[in-house]
Amino acid sequence: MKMQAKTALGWVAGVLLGNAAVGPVLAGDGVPLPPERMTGKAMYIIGSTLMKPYTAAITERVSRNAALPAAVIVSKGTSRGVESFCDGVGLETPDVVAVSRRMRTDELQRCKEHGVTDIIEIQVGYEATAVVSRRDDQEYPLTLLSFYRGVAAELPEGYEFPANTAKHWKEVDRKLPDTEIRVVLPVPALGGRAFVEDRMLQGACRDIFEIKTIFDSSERVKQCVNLRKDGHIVELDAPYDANVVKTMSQSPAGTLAVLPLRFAAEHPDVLKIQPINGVMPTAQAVANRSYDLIRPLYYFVKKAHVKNYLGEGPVTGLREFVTEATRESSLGPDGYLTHMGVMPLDDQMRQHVRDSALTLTTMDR
Amino acid sequence: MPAKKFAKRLATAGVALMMTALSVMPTARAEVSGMGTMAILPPTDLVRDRPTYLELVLAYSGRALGGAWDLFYDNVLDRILPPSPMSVANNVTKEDAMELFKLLSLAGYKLKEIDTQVGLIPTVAFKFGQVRDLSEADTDYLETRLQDWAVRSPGMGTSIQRSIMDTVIAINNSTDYHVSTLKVQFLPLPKVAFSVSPKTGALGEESSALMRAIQRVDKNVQGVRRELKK
Repeated sequence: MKMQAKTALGWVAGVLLGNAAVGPVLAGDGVPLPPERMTGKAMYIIGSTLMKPYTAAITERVSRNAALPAAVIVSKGTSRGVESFCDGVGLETPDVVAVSRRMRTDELQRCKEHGVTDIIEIQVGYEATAVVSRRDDQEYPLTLLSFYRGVAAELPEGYEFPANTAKHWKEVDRKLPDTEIRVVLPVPALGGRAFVEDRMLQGACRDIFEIKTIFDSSERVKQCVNLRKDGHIVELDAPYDANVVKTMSQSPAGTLAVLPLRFAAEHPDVLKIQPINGVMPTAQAVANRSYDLIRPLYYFVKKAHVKNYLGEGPVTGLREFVTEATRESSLGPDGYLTHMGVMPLDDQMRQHVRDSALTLTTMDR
Repeated sequence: MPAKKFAKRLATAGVALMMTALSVMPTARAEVSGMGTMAILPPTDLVRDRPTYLELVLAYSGRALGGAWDLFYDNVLDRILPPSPMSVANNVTKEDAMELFKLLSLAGYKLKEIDTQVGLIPTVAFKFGQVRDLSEADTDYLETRLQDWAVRSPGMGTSIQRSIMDTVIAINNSTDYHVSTLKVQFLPLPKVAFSVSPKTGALGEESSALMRAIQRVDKNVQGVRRELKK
């Protein structure tokens, strides 16, 4: 017992001295973590920029209702956020990572290798993206494939990839109007562009035989996301959403743009939301996943940081965070996250998420 | 299946025989006891189908026994006895099995062979070969589909199939190895065999290099074509 006590004291002293020697512990963005964090009184949440307003809304309520210090929220992007989260267990590492996709199997493996073995998965809903035209335009019955055939630099013909020469939507698909192809997209540096490439273009390429038979993914993706540069695509920089509204109001008929649904829905005076693969982005179509342009929004919580029912554990507030994030008043159809733009899960999924989270069930993959 | 039909008939016949034997005596007693009132008001309905309490109890017990037998037969014996190749073929076209095949296709695997052996213990196995590796977007899409499947179809069978997918994804995401072929066997016992090969020097790399070379030649030819047009 004495030996154990000595070892523990030595470890605490070592950690304290070590920290003093190297200075304050830094958060993911290089900002020092506040003292409340290092005593376990404040939560530390890292992750996607897209998720930041939702995370802030949840933690504000937790802080207010449970009289806790404000949580440390760091926006570092999904992949880098997961990397920090999986660095290990301890107050210098994040308690929660907020991401706009599911944690990958290899990331989970890395987590386990660093001692983060028990992770609670909470899906709070979806972020939907819309394809819009000008308000007065007719309906464009677009599919992912016809969209791809409108914007790709090269199209397969046999096993060759000649340049895309289509000038009008009707040349791409006879069901589409005979208007000039003009598509507004985010510049490559913006997060929205990654969504267009990953979900729309690569989604279409999964159904194109000549592309899906390219073995090497780097070659395949390069071929797939190569967009035409002959004036049919207009790239806009930040603030992208505001720039889209301005550009669309001055654009010729047939111009299409890709932007977050919540923003498109705020401007019905300028924009008209178009269906994709015959499906409009309604709450029901998103919840049952029949609408394609969605990405899931998740929180992953380190169970080792959560206090147990006896109050034993390193971080205060995580039990309350899990509760608040899964309340019907948060992620339900009339919840505040939904009002902020999150598309809700269906009833069965919400119940499943709530049951798993509130019993602190860990991911099993 | 003749054995199943026979067993069901046997159970039904047994219950019916017991019911007939027990139903005669009590109803006869009821008829005798009604004799006293017959002179005053002749009965208009003599159908003797009203069961006594004893009959009701026995009927319920018989039905319960029959139900239990059916349950046992459908759920236990079907699992113990070897199924016919036709029933196996019907099973693999079911939604969940098809979901596994769809996900394997999304994971870059194509059905290459179906091995079947017909005999006392039939064998059915499906062999898949890797036709492409996955991009990060493909992996994310696949992960989402897997989670969706887990929620919509929980259970042992689909859970095993999801484990197969998880293993394939985990190996393929490693830096050094990939699953080159995958053999999924449904009979006589469910079994999965992974052929894991080093990523460098695998046939896929050669195919990819070949494709790159073809694309380079194609670009050159197109360049020459353009020059000729000028």
